[in-house]
Amino acid sequence: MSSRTTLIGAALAMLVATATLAAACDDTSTAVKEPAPGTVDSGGGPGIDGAVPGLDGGQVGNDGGPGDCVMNPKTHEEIINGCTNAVKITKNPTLPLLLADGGLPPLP
Amino acid sequence: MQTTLRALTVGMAVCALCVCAARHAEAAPCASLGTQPIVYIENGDTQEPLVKRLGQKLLASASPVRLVYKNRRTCDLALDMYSATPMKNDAIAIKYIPSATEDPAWDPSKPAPSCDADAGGNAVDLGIGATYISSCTNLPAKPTDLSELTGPVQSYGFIVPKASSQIAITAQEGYFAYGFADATGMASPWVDQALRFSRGPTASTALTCAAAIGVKASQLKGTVPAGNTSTEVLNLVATSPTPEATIGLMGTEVYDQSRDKVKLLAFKGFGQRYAYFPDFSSTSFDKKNVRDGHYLPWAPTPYLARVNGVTGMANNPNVQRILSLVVSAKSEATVSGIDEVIASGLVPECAMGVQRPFDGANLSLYAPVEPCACYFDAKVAQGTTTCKTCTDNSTCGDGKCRRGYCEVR
Repeated sequence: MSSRTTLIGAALAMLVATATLAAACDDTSTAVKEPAPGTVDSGGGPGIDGAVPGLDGGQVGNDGGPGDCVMNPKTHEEIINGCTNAVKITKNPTLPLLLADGGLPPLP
Repeated sequence: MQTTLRALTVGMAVCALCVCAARHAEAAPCASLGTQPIVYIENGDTQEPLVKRLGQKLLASASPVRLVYKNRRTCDLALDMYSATPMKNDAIAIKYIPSATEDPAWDPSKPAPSCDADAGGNAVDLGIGATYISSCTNLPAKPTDLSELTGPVQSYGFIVPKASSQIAITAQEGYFAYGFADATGMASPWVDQALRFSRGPTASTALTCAAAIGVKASQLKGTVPAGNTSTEVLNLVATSPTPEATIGLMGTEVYDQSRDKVKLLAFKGFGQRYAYFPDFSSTSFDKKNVRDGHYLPWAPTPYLARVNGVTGMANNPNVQRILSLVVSAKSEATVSGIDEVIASGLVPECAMGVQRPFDGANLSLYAPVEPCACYFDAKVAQGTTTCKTCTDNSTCGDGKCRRGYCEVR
């Protein structure tokens, strides 16, 4: 009985460890999403490093996908959007003063 | 009632004077602290952790040198160096590194004791700024004997109280929050100017953060604390009774020592798809995203010293010693410049993979001549590296064995 409990415990521990490893190795798991524009924009939900996908009901996005980042970046635009396994956070706030084309108005 | 109030006010004023006088009376002349040669430094307050760490090691070394320093804003200290203005006693305390004999309990996490400059002031031997000197608009032409060397990289960021729910800020949000007065920028939740803490326009923190959000430091619409110091911003943000609306600008190595008090927001620059922390995650210290270009508010620290026009070496040999340790990442028997730089939360040039020519400029790829990325990864707090350890080049393939690790070159 005792050894069966131990076996079950060990199996469970391995399962948890495997799941944790899989999550850690999955690039998309580090993405933290924020509510879609128009909803409450708190800068993201809890668990930013816990890599809990979809925890805050954020956008189901293309983060981490091949078309979402640049392999072997060379230019500034490519470097800042280069592929990485670092924690990344989606944030697209609603800013009423942004120009229609997404540009910035001059400072007052 | 009025008389009582007046008496109380006078009493408080007298007490304050007494405290000031007592404090001043306690400060010894810096020049008479000991027999060791002294290097007088003016440094950005973000560079104080490095000055303290390095100063302790230098004073305990076989050739002891005492560091006496004053925290100054980058463009102010640059002006002092350009104009050869001496370090004088004023509202900003002059501090020194105590020896183990003088204060056995002192370590770099503790405040440094104060001392007084000579009556006519003391020549500043070394200026350590914390952003591009080209961002300073207050400088005359650079004297020909003044050298500016590029030191380790310093990152900056936006801090909020622990109780804030915010975890990231975009450059556009920063532009509207800090570029517009009061609530007119409509960058919720940072719509209260009294709670948007900033630094004066000559401080590197203001210059580099402003550049990252597309404004000039002089255009920042925030609240500068009375003393215009990082410590004040830190405390004001940490203790704000209105956490959601509160935000401040901060050097990340100051933040790294205060992670229990505030949190640093991930930053999303113009044209960037995601926001990133300076480090791999909010809990690591590896400056991964600074080093590979995913985190944008950073600048190298300029070292200003008077040099020999022929040799290019600093006139003061003890300044040259510091430059070799910090700028060239050299090591002595008991002082490792690169280790102190890393432990202070800075990134040595040899661990950087990107560069930029001035504050807010676009990044380009950078390949250090003598890379130390593997060493940095291994030495930084909580660090690990997958690089191979080595004792010579024979096991490094196309790479090179440096500081015990196979680096790419």
